Amino acid sequence: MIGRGVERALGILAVIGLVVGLYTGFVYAPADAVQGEVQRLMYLHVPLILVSYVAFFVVFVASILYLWRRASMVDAVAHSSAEIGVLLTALAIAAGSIWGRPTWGTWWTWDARLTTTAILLLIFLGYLMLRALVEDRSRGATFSAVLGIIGFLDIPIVHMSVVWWRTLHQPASVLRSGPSTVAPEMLVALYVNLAAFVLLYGYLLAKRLRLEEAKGELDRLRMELLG
Amino acid sequence: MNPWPYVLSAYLLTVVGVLWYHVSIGRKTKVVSAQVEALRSQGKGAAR
Repeated sequence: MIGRGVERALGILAVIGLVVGLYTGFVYAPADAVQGEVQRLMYLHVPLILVSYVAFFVVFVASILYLWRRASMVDAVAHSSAEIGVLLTALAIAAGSIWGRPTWGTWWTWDARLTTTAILLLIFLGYLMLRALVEDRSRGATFSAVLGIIGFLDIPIVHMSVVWWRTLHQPASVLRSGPSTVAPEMLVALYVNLAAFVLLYGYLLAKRLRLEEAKGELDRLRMELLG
Repeated sequence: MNPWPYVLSAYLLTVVGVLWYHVSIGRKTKVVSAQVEALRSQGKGAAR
């Protein structure tokens, strides 16, 4: 699906991006005037959650395409992207929880942003379980495509939760209308880390698609040999 | 409160999580590719 050369290039670029991201996040960007050094978790937590949105958006588009065209390739893309999205969301929640302890005084609170993000994680964990449980591959792909489309609809709710409800979580500082509330150096560090995590996502997706390709080949050979 | 244990533990957790996933996909791909090769050679043997 994606050539090994492209996969390798994405991997190398992701590692370079992450190293530059660490430099910008820990050296280039100043410490926050209010939170101090702990605010540097923003360069990890925000890219993790934003790239998980990207991963679930890919699931959403691939699921629509699967229901329309029934192409196994787009189903493989949806499955792979959902798996990576779950990993990134779980890590974003963990990083946010670690950030919450020194700033809010608690690891977890049933705040609207945290709760809707936890629901997002549960929806896509259910998506992966559905794929594992339904034996008929075509039916499993159809059911999970429907769940993938519905699951994505939680993302606008997650994003708007800080506007619609009174929350402990701070309002959006990147995906917002009007001027940014973040200092320029911090914004540079944030965008560098965001680009690095997009590259990491691309690399993991290419690698995961190679597994799907091998699985597809295995199924084809089994069918051929069994007649 | 010293912020560094929090900052470093979050970064470390992310590194471990991503590396675990990376290794896990690599292992699964190796296993499935070996099965594909085995079936291919079995198919060639049957054709002869």
